[in-house]
Amino acid sequence: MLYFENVTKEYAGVKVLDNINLSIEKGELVSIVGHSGAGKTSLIKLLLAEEKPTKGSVSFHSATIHSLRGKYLNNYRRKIGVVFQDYRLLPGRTAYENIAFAMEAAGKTDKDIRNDVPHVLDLVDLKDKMSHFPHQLSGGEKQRVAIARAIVNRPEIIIADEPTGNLDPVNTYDIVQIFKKINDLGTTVILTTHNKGVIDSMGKRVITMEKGKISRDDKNGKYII
Amino acid sequence: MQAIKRVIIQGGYSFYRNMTVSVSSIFILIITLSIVTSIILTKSIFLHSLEEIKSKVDISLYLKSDASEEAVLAIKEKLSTLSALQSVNYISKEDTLIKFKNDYKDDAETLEALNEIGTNPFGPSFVITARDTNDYSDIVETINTPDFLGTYNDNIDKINYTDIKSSIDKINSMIKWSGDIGYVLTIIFMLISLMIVYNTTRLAILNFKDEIHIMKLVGASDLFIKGPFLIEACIYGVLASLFTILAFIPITEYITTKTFVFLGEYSLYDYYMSNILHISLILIGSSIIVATLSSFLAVRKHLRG
Repeated sequence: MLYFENVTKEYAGVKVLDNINLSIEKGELVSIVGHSGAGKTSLIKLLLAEEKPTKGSVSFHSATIHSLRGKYLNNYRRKIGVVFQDYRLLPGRTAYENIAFAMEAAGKTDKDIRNDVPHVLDLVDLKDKMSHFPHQLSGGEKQRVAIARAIVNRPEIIIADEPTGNLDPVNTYDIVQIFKKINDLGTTVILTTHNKGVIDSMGKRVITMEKGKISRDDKNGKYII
Repeated sequence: MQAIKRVIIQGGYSFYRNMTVSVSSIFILIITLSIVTSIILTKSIFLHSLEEIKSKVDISLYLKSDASEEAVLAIKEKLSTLSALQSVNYISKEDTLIKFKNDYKDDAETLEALNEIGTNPFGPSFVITARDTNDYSDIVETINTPDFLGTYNDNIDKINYTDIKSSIDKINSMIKWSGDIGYVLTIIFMLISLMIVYNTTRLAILNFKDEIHIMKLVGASDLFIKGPFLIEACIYGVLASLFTILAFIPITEYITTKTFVFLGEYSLYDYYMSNILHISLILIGSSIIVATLSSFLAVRKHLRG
């Protein structure tokens, strides 16, 4: 489904990714672990088509991601849901509006928005807080809104960059359970994290990165650095 | 249709949410539009004054005092054939004498000298007006052609065109100059306004950086991202135009009362009100172009990033 072939990424002559070869199949839950500067975020940026590889190629099915332009790039991005460590919710909009905004941007109808937003808020257990603004929500709740926003357009892949980085253990557990649930429903999930507990509790594929290279790729991995 | 509706709603929402930036941008546009309106009105005053001067320009064709009635009629008939002619008025030698006496009624010495002559020393004349000031030189040239009046040429005393030729040329160059300077000033102020509104919008769009980033990541089209900013800019343009248009109604009324001494019956207020639709279209059109172009350039930078 997703393929990295001999991918190298350099910034001002410094290699942040060094000859990465990797494939992720439909329905997988993949954790990417590594110290800061190991290349996790650069890998994510290539997946989101925010950056282009210096060498090699990144493909989604048969399409080369970094060659996509205009509506083809927009269509590709509509197949991906993104969750960030800092939530990146729109502060002037309620939980409902934040999610509706992603659907509007993806060109969904008003009827779809009215049907799907309450449903997805229910999935992340926030139906009673749909009228709350981000500043009225806890960190865990904000992250659940961000996840709801990411999944509302029914993407093929969810990419989560350090989604539990700002959360306490209880909220971390809840968020991990949501990702597991999303994955159980057939969506591919890729997440980067530093959290040993998260990785060990999932028992899924773990890719370990060090200095821009993949040092381990375990099917039922543990956090080993 | 749905996307357009959302873009319009979002544009209105952004306008309301960024009230400080909206008010600043509108204020800058009002200044520019006021300058543009002032240029339009100044030009109208200038053109009116020039028209007044032009209407007073004519050619006087003086005949010798002994010119016969037959010669006068023949010359008048010839003059009537001139294609550039608007009118030709005959002034008899008697009328000229009466006018002279009237003009110098307070000058006893001149009137005494006239009486000493004993006869009417003035000849009859024709006052010729052309359709266009540019045609005067052609009319004079035609009259001076020996074949035009033929044998009646001997009855011509003089043509007083050379004295006013330079005035006519000046008037023409002033009309052209006023037009050119108006266009140049308009373009300069539009560019200044474009730069200021662009920078204001650019700073405002920094607040939307995350929003634009999220829009891009969920695959929003360029129209969906740019659209609200362009709608917001249109709102700036329309509001700034409406304010300027309405503000100039009392302003022109006030100016009219204060310039009665210089402009006589010419009313700037009447000119403004009778051209308000035309002026409104210019103001609304130009302000929307300036505001939307500024927004377009400002948001384009973030779409690339």
